[in-house]
Amino acid sequence: MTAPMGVQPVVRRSEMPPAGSAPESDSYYEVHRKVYPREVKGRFTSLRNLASWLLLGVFYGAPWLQWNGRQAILFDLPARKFYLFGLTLWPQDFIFLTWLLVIAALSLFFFTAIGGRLWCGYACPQTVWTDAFLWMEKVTEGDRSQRMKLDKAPWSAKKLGRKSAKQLLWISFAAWTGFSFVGFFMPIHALAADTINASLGSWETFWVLFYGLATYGNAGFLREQVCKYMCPYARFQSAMFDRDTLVVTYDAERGEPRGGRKKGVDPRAAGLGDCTDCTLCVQVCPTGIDIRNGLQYECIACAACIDACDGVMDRMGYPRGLVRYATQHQLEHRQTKVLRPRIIVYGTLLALLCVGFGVALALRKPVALDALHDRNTLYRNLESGEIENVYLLKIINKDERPHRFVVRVTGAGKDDDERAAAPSRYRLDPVAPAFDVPSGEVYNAAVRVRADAWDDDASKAGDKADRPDDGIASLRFRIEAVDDPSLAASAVARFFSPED
Amino acid sequence: MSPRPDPDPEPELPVAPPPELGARGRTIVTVMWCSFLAASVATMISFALVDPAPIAAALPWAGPGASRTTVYSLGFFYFWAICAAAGALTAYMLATPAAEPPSTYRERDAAASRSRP
Repeated sequence: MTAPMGVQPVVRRSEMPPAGSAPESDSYYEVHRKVYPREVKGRFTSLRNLASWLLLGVFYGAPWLQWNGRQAILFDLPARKFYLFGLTLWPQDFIFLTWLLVIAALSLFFFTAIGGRLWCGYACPQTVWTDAFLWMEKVTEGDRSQRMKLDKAPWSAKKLGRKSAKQLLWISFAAWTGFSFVGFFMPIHALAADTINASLGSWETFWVLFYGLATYGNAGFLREQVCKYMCPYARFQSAMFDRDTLVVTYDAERGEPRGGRKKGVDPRAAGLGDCTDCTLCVQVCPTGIDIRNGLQYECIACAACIDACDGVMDRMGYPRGLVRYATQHQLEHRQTKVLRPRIIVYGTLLALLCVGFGVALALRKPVALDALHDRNTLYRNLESGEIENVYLLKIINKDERPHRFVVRVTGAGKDDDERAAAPSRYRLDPVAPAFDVPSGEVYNAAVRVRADAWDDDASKAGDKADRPDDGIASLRFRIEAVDDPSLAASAVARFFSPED
Repeated sequence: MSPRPDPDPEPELPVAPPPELGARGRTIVTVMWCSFLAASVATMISFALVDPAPIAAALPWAGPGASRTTVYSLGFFYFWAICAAAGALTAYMLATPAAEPPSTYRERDAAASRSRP
């Protein structure tokens, strides 16, 4: 419990009992004791509650938001489309999601190096939902000492009633959580209708229950054990720490020697430090540690102990901040350096990635085109002497509005752009077909392309690149929105003709 | 002000500690949890690159009920099982020491060289 951060107790192999003869009691693990965090009021608690309300509000509210007649935030897995307000991401845009995850990871590093475990204390779902479940526990079972007495008491009607009420609240809240979670991945209105009509699909039901159960177990029972034993971030976050990182600290120099005293007694005259040894900082700790033992890896930096201690300092008439956010350098009376190589590297990388992401998103083409040659027939010889190939064009409109796209075709050679404007050997039938594609849809359009049989003598010099090789030539389809020529895309396909 | 501003003093250790997971239990839980994380990532990347619709159509019981959601879900459990197998094997290999530590060989060789005429 009290090992300094990053230091693991060392057990040499030679000291370990041989495999197979392990004693019945697995003494390598500490006995887990249920933690009963005491409620606390103060600046940081208010801040944490605000963050909790905000994040829970976003989680439960966001799936219900509407945007242009559809769900505003929907990672529509059944349809393989991600909607983020005006943005529609397709599987081809997976790079953006990856990019976003890299930015998120780097932000975590950056803010950890500056402010310690801000994520754990204020934003981590584990913290937020544990707080919510603790609140429900407080409502039904009472405050810390009442809860402890209740757990110790033999089973009675009152205990059963309170415990049942808590379970009812927990289970309903967990089920709602599971439902909201699935609502991010499937249209939530349909999901709600199916739930009410008891016609929810089996997998949907399964995932609602799965996530609900995970919430119930993690926030109701495992709680701080998730942070201590399960969270990978808790294990490696100390790698981002240095002596200039903001952490929750106990000012031992000021506090020690700790001890009880009457109010109004001058602690220095009594040979005491400012710590009254009231143990409130221990009682409020959600992970059950004593911050006065120094920085510990269990500390999620929720700052509950700061609020508890500040309250005591106020009542005793001492200055606040015996337990406070400080850096190791501050405690050593040295200057804290904010701009240090680690911060500059993380910050620069983060800024570059964010700018790159914004630019890439802004330059992202909301239109895409795939051209597939007809699988059954390579070519047809028409009576007119022309050769005809049939293609399936997949026009993807990722834009928010519907568009009418006109299709053109040219040869596909090296000097593509130049030739785009030049008259082409290929002719579409009908000449310039146009297709209406609704927003967020893939439109399958069949088009016919005709060309005269190749004649070396008749062709112009500029067309030489179109010369079929063993009966195969390349052509390029271009689509362009009628109302916005900047919405354009192209795709290359092969044109088959009889071999000479 | 009393020396302890705590209005309700700390009661004794409140309840008997809950039943503990043994070393094997912890190993299982750790393996399942880490493979869960790995399987989540594997599912995300795989199905971002591969459209499961043709897989859903090819499922032996393929019918109107077999959808992408089925393949996503089964795919996740498939990855979870594979990752858990790797994790379990890793845990087993680490927990099972090699039959003889190298020092045994050195001692035996030394004894052999001493007994050599």
